[in-house]
Amino acid sequence: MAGSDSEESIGQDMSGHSTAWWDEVDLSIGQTGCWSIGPLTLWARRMEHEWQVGHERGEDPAEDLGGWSFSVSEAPLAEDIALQRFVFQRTPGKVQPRPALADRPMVVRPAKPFFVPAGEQANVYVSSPLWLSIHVGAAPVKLQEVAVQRPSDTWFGASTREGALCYASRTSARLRLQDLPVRAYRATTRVLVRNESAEPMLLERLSLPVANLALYSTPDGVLWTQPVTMTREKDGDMAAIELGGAPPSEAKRAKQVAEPRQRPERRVVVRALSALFG
Amino acid sequence: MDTLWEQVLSFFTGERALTVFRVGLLLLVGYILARLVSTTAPKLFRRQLTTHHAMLLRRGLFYLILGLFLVSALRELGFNLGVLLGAAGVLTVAIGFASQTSASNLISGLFLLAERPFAVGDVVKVGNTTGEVLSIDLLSMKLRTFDNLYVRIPNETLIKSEVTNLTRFPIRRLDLQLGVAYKEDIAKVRETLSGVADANPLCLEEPAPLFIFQGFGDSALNMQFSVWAKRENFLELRNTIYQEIKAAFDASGIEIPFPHRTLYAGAVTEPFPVRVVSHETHPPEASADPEGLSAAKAESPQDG
Repeated sequence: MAGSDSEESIGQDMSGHSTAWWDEVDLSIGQTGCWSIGPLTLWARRMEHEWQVGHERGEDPAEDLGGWSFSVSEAPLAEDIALQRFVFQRTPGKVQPRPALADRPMVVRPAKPFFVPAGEQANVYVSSPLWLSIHVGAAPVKLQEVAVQRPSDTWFGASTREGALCYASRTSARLRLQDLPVRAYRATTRVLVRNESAEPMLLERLSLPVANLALYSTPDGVLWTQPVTMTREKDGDMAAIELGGAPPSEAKRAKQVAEPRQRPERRVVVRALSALFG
Repeated sequence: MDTLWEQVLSFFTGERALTVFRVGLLLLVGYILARLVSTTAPKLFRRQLTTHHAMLLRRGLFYLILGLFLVSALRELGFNLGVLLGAAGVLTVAIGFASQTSASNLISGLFLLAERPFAVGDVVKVGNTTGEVLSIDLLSMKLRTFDNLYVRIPNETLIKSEVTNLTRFPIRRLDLQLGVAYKEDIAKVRETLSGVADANPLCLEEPAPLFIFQGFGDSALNMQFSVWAKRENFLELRNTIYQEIKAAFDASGIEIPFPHRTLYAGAVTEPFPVRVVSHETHPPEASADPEGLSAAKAESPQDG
């Protein structure tokens, strides 16, 4: 496997300039950068006229692979890795695997469904898997996007005729932040679920529009999105979703690291109840 | 020579020349107007119309306007339209009889347009033909099959027969018919199948995979496992999930049985004669002897 004979290693433990896996790295011609993030191993090799990018994903998604590492080697990529080649007149030296959220909404369920009584509200913590978007150059050019962990497809809608294709989150929504394991390749969202209707609301699942969310990082490299408020309105059939403008209070001194994929047209959107809570 | 010249001159200066000029002008204006209206009108309604309807509107408007101007031109020339229409009526009946099939296809085409069971670009199945719709015309629909053949299907056939639109809805269900040996635990099989569906990212988590026990078959416990996939991923899921199920069954020791055949010799108590054959002493061609074969088959498991 390429990158195993590392010469230089930057990681969480290193006391140095770099503490996040999405930091920009300078590679000289003939060098291969290898990022290991959760189940994903990603290689980017710089040659004189081309960048080669390859990845490999671990088999067992349940494995607890929370950390990350980065190493540089001179070895070419292994034969069995399916790689993609990007040809340049002269390859730029800078490479950066930028974090990005999914391009479809993420469907999250609590470990066990619960009721939100009339007039009550609850904070739910949700974690969404990330994609790596490999950029090279000073005026960054995007080469490829790779999911750290490929989530399963799922359908979210009232019937098999109407609805939206989403990703199913492998982890469940938690009521306490401490219960949510911190992973380098997942971003946490605080969702405030409010029930303003006169009936109790059963929360079985919710659809989080992650494509409209930005990513923020705390100084210790934990990723967050801005908080989201989902309100079941008084008449009971409609729900409003409001996207926050800043990182939540839990993410102290967080800085934005990625823009949303799609800028939301409005901050508050009212939709059918079934479009948010299934 | 002079008289001919005078005749030509009088034609151009007389009443008749003016009429011909007016008729020419009418036709020209009609043509330009028809072109103008037929190109702008579909653009105005672009949002409401499909490409096919827009094309139809364009042609309809063009011929309608041109027809109206042609009729006025004929009147200008002094034709009696009543007689002309009467003649046209008789002609229509004659043509109608002669071209029943075309007329039937034409009417069917109009019904299809109104009903819109599919659109250009959809994948449909008509009879044994499956393909992508290239165009829906007044007389026929054109398909491109997946082995890249061009198929023309008359509209009449479409109206009469069952047409399946494979791309109408965004998700599709794949029904896997499976059989496992009688000794297997159904709960374990079900668990293994759920695990396979769960691990395959193309298999939708919701609608949840469906497990139906179909009954006790001749050689196997028959069951149906139905999984959902995004329409575009249907074929890929079909290719991957069978492999994965086979691998998962092999890993957990679940047997997919071959069809079993029990040979019955005729008497309940009498067993088949079994003869032990030694390989060293036997010539190779003798291995196909009927007795040896029946002995081997009689040993096959008879869990049924």
